[in-house]
Amino acid sequence: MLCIEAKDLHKRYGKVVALDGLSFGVECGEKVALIGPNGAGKSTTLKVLVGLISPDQGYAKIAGYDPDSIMARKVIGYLPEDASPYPMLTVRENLEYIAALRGVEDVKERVEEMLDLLELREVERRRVMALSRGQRQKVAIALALIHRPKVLLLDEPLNYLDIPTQEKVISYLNSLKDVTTLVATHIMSIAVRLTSRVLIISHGKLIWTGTVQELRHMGKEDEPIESVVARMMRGSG
Amino acid sequence: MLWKLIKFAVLSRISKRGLILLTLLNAFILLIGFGAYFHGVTSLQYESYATLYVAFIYVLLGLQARIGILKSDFDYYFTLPIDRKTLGTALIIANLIFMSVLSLSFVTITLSPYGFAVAPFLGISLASLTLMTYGMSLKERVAIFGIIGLWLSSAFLGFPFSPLAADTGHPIEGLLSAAAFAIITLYFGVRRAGALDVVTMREVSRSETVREASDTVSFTGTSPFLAVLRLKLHYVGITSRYGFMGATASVRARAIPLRTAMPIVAAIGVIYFIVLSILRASGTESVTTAMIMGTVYMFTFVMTTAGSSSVTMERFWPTVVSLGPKYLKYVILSSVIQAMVLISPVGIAQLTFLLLYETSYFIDSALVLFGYIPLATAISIMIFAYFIPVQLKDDLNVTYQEFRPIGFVAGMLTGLLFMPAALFTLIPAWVMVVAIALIALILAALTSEDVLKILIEKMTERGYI
Ligand SMILES: Nc1ncnc2c1ncn2[C@@H]1O[C@H](COP(=O)(O)OP(=O)(O)O)[C@@H](O)[C@H]1O
Ligand SMILES: [Mg+2]
Repeated sequence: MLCIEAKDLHKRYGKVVALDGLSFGVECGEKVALIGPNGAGKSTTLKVLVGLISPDQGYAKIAGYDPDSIMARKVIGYLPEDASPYPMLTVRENLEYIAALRGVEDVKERVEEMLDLLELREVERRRVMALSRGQRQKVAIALALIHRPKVLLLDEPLNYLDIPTQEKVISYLNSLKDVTTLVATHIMSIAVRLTSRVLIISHGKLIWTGTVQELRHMGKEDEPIESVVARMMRGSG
Repeated sequence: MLWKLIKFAVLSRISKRGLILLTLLNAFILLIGFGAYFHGVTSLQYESYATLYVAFIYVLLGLQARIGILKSDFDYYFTLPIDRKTLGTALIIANLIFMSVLSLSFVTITLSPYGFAVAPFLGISLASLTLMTYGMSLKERVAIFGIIGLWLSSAFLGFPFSPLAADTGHPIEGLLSAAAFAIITLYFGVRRAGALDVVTMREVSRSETVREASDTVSFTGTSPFLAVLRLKLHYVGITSRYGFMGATASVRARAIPLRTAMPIVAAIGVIYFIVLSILRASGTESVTTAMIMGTVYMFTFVMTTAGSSSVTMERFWPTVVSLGPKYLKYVILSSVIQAMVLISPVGIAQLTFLLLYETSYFIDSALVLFGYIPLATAISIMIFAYFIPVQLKDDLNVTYQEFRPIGFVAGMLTGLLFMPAALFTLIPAWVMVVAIALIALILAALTSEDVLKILIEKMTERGYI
């Protein structure tokens, strides 16, 4: 069963064509990377998938439901690019606020878990505006995960994080076995670490999809995976 | 060099097209002002009360308008290898250009030849004071603008050496005071400009010294709506837009606990009651005017707090994605409640006064306070969100905002929307009831899920997330 489905998505911002007939599907429980250069339409795709913008043409489904239906919203966990939590609230207030909106049952425990997971204890009583960019990213990741989402849509999730935190987040995300995950990134190595299949998009269109192994096999001996992708994108014009 | 910098400072805040539109708008306002004057309209207000209005608006703008500094100024502007004083001076002149729109609005209020002469001086002093008070605490700024407000309003009582005395029969003294005021403030303003980046840096990093927040709020065990309401009743987000009609993109944010704000607004309520009681002794007409001013205070207050800033600090990605368009409805409703709490002292003062001495206006005033103003506030939040969607990512760092005439018009329309509230003494109660019913219907249509979804989408496309 498909937990994420995009069908013939078109979206323009004024004259700029951001999505140009993008279609793909992600099986339930699958972990997939959405790869493409800057401006390829990755962030726009995620915004359509979470129902913040509707496509000019085509449709998206989350677990079979419309993205802005209650059923879909319940299961979605979304981390946008350059995510910024509420600046005037403290770290804990942010977590509790979103947990309350989400109707999380065991708020207290869940908040504690998140604080530990992302090593935010030291700063839990600090306002987000007084945090570093990396610390903010950690809070944002916690906000995206707090309600135990079944479908995770993450936009450049490892931005700003230091290497130990990156490792921690990677192993946590990999431990969420039955969570369908779509990670938008322009960094190939992140895709390889977090997912088993990649979707390569360029100019709002899907140009290739396959497993990470298949992608490796398309390269010559010892050719870095990045250069395979680069070759493919050049090919797409 | 200075000219180049000014050009850079102006164009980094507004596009060429925007600048042309702003200039045309200025000319248009002046034209209306002159036109009205030569057609024999001498004042939009009861003659000398105009001075009180101007003083009020001056203080309000002074407290609200902050110098237009963007986050990118720190990254690209202050790092230019140029003398700081020159950089600062260019910035103040650029700001003066934007301030000119505001100073012209003074003119249209007084609509007298002296008003025309005094307005530029007021504009200059306002821009300079903005610079001088930049980096001061809210308390200090309230004190400074409070004193200036008293000095400006002293013209109303016949004091000749006040800038606004030009309108109350002391043209020479008034003009001289205005010019002197402008020159002195300009001198200190320009001096201050040289240290602008240092002051701003200190202010931006000030939050770092406050390690732990002492006054926090818990959201455990609440329903979604109560969580939003609790948030809005705990923190009052004050976003100062530099020129709330959308001239530039510089926005600063503060969140002050409601608890801190209440004593201040309560004091205003008490003073208001005392003023009304004193005026009652001197005749009904001035009581009516004072009540109109009280009502104007209330809706200007809600327009500049809830109306223009209840969504600037909102985040859609963890909230709308959780709850859908309903979340925005909760935010609007909670912001209206917050605004009502903040104006309640003045409202209570007015209603108590009417109940005691002027029962004939009681019903009208109650209708305005409990019906018209809350509903109009809700609509104004939506108008601002749709036409001037500013989001504050973090301090100084806003999503891109372009000066668009539609935003300006929307700001004006919002002002007009509140007008019937100011005229409550003239409007029969049944007309007010009809007006309330009408705007309630409009609001009901505007807050349907479908319309909210369009609004959210529009805001998202403008960079809201
Ligand atoms: N809010 C917006 N307004 C106008 N154009 C936009 C907006 N968001 C994205 N775009 C444009 O749409 C295209 C796709 O952007 P985006 O989805 O952010 O790409 P990616 O995330 O892959 O870098 C780009 O050309 C970008 O400039
Ligand atoms: Mg992106």
